[in-house]
Amino acid sequence: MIAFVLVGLAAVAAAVGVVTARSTVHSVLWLIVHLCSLAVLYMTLRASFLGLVQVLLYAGAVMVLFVFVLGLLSANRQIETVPRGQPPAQMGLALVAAVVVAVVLLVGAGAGVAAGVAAHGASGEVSAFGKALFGPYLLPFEGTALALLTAIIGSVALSSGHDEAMAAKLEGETVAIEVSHALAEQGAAGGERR
Amino acid sequence: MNIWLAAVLKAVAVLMFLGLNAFVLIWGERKVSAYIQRRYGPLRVGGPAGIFQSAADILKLLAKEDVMPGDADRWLWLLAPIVSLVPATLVYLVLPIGRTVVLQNLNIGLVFFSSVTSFSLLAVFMAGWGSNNKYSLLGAMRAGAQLFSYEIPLILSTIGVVIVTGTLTLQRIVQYQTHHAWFVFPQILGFLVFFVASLAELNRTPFDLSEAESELIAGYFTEYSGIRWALFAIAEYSNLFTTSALGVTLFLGGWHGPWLPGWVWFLLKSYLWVFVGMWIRWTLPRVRIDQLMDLGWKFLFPVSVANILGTALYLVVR
Repeated sequence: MIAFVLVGLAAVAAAVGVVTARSTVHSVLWLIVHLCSLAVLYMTLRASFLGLVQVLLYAGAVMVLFVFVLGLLSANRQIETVPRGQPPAQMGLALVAAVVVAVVLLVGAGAGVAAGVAAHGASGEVSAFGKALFGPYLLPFEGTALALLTAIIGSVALSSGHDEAMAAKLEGETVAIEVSHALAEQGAAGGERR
Repeated sequence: MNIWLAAVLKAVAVLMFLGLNAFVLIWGERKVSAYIQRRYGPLRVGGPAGIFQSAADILKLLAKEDVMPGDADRWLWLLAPIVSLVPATLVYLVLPIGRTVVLQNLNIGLVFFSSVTSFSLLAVFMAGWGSNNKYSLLGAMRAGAQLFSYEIPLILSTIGVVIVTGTLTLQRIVQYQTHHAWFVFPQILGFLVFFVASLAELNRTPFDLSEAESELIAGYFTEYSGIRWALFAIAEYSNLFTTSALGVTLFLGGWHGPWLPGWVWFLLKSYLWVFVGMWIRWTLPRVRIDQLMDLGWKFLFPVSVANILGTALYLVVR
């Protein structure tokens, strides 16, 4: 119980870090801390397998992709940082979101949603987890898989090979030319700085 | 015994092994590379066959000036070497060292191993980004692409073993192999994929693109010196040992063997695996980045999936 509260506080602190960090990279790293704290919370609830999968998939794979995209997009320029002194606008939005989630959770717990979930997957063991996933929850599970597959195909279709043609089609050719000029200039500037 | 005292003792033992392992492997790497290149390697630093070369190396690193780049992202840069040690230390928790010796016999040991090792990439990125240096960032980006691509075949190649034994406990997987054939024979495809993918996961030549010295100086740890660089090196040598030990556990019967006690077999097999890795490192040239990606996604990934399907089919049909 003490561990649960302590790790819960760490998770909240990390979440605050995500929205208040002044550089995007720091935000992402705070998010990783937050996701790891969530994994520890799962483990204190005797769902250690779920906790490890959380670490492997979210803190490991998904956040690596975040970090990767960030590095690729901003390799050539300074990441925009919020100037010191003024509170970032995200703070207000985050507060609103936190209130909404808290209300939903409270209402949900009142309606007994949490109790139902606990009755189904009481044990966090791998076999119980697998049986729940491929038994009562088979349809939602496969549905999620299908949705993710659709997203992958969509992103591949959007990004495959025709970047310039796509840009020209979407925003007119001048924009594409400007972008390529800007990129060339950035490359030159990067060369000079060295 | 008091549970906290036991935990502290285990942690101290793991940290001591981490240091000892690096001590032996720094010297081992110098000697192996020397013999492969027809040299003698360290001889004159003291001890038999110059083994105190490692001590000299460590003293030099400790005495070196600690330089921090002026434009570095201070916290990321400072934390990166420490973060790199965390997964390197944690994985010892689940490795079955002997018949009854395992620090914590988790029932999801294999998942623990893979999820903890996926963190080493984080340290690489923190170092690469925090250094605020083009070569470091390029190295970190390469490491990101590489580790991410090869982690998938690495994990998939172990699934065959899990399907056959029906457990994720590493100790049980070894026990299964004591009264069946070692998995290197029935799971030969999985073994080969695991071996190649583990070389790539460890950033060893022919897959050391993230620190390719002829292109990127030293990749993500270009800006580190002294003790901070040493922390990276210790973590790297520890990962070399633990990944080899995982391979031995899954495919080469772990601590199982005749006459000698289990932990001796475990260490012998693991260091033999490490030696083969060094042998390959000092023999083969580096691949190109596009070849690396092709090998991972277009060859190892389908082969490991085929291995899973084949194993499952065999178990159903049998």
